[in-house]
Amino acid sequence: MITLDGLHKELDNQKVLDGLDLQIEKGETMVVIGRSGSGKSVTLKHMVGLMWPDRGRVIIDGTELSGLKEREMRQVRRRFGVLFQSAALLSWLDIFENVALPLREHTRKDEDEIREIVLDRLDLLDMKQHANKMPSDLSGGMKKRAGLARAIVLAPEIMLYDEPSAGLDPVMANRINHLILDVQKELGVTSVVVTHDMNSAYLVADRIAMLYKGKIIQVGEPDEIRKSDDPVVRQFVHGKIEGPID
Amino acid sequence: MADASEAARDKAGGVFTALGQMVTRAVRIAGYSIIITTSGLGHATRAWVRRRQVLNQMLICGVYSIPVAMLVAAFTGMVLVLQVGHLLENWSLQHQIGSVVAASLCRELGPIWVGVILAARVGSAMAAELGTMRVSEEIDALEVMSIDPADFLVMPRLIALALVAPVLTVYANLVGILGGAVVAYYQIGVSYHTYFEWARRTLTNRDMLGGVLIKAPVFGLLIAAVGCAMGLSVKPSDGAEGVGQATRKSVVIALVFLLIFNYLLTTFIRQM
Ligand SMILES: Nc1ncnc2c1ncn2[C@@H]1O[C@H](COP(=O)(O)OP(=O)(O)OP(=O)(O)O)[C@@H](O)[C@H]1O
Ligand SMILES: [Mg+2]
Repeated sequence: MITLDGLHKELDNQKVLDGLDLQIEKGETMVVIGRSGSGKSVTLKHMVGLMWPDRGRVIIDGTELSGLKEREMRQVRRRFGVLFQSAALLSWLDIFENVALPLREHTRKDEDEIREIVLDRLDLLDMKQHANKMPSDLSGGMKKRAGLARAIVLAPEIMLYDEPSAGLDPVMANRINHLILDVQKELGVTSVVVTHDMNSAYLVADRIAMLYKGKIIQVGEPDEIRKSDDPVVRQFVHGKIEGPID
Repeated sequence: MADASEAARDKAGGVFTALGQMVTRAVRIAGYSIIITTSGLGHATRAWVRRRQVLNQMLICGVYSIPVAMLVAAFTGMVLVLQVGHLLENWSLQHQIGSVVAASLCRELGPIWVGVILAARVGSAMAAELGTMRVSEEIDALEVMSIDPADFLVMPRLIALALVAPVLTVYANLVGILGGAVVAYYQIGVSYHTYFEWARRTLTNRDMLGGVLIKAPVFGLLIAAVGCAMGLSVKPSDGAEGVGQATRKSVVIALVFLLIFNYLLTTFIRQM
């Protein structure tokens, strides 16, 4: 479904991706773990053409992104739903209008239909009662849920989550994790989740990939990662101070 | 001695390097502003679809600028009369003061002051707003949703400022001339009738059209374009500091471009 093939990316003269390879299968939930600043967000941005690799290829269902024209790129993007690290809600629209935005821009549905779909999505995420609030009046967890509602409103095939549970209290973090599972069940999507929260990784992942120094150093099922022999992976998943990571 | 001259040369070199960098930066920003303007205006046909946003921007840019424009224009007309009126008394021409005020406001000061006010109040706010959206990934989110920022964000701002600037200019011209009339009456003893008669006699259609329908819309577009360009060129990793810099720079750059364009447009309008 998604193939990242030898991605190299330099930002501000600093190597961020250094030959990153990763293959994500249709319908699976792939969790990418790695330290803060290791390039997880950069990796996600490559998948939707928000960043372009210096070298290497991004292939979505057999289509290589770099060759695409503006219009074809738009079609590829329509298959994605993205939950950004900061939720990225438009600050001057209320929650209802934020979630309705993709419908208004890309469909010809009338006001009643839009209302029905938006409220349905908000209900799924337990946000219906906050529909008329402005983003600045919401807590971090509520923003994330609103961002998630907006991401799934056009029923995407592929969901990208950037740190869905970061900065949330444990209860809310867990709730978001279960929402990811719900979306997975409800829509049957392929998901990529970026996180440094191991509990969340074990819970939602079909497979986990560890990003370190610009490469994926291990991919495996949660159990394999938990019991990994790789000293870097071991140190990261157990949060040890001693080890090869500096 | 040799050290001192070398140091001086280095310093001079430093100044030239700095100047060179300034010019390259200016050219780059100008280029980016032109790109922003063309891609934004490329969506101008969608202004009707986005009329709510255009109106909203017009409200923010226009209506809230009215009080400042009033103050600035009134005092400009008043101080003009005070300075030039007393000067004209030397030749006993003070009764013609109305024509001086009307001509300077309608041809130059009206559009320029409106431009300055919009650059300071509105262009900077646009840079701050779009820059913040860049940092908080909102622009990325729009792109992922296949919503073109040039269409969704830039176009309404360009259109709004291009429409609002002429209206504000007419208003500023009127207020300025009125302010001048009051001072002319009380300080130099020119009757309202004489004042407005001379004002009317001086103003040609070219003055009206040139200032209101050529300069003002161009200034409006320019200020919106620079504001949007500076905002959109903030890098997410620059954070709040980057937004602050973009805001500050957008004002300076818009003012410089404003004065350059004003000179060019004046040349152009005088040849019409
Ligand atoms: N647009 C950009 N311009 C310049 N440098 C960037 C840009 N985006 C990211 N970087 C740099 O790339 C590196 C990786 O950033 P990235 O945001 O991918 O990290 P991350 O793994 O998502 O970290 P976190 O867990 O903190 O979100 C960082 O050093 C960052 O400073
Ligand atoms: Mg990140």
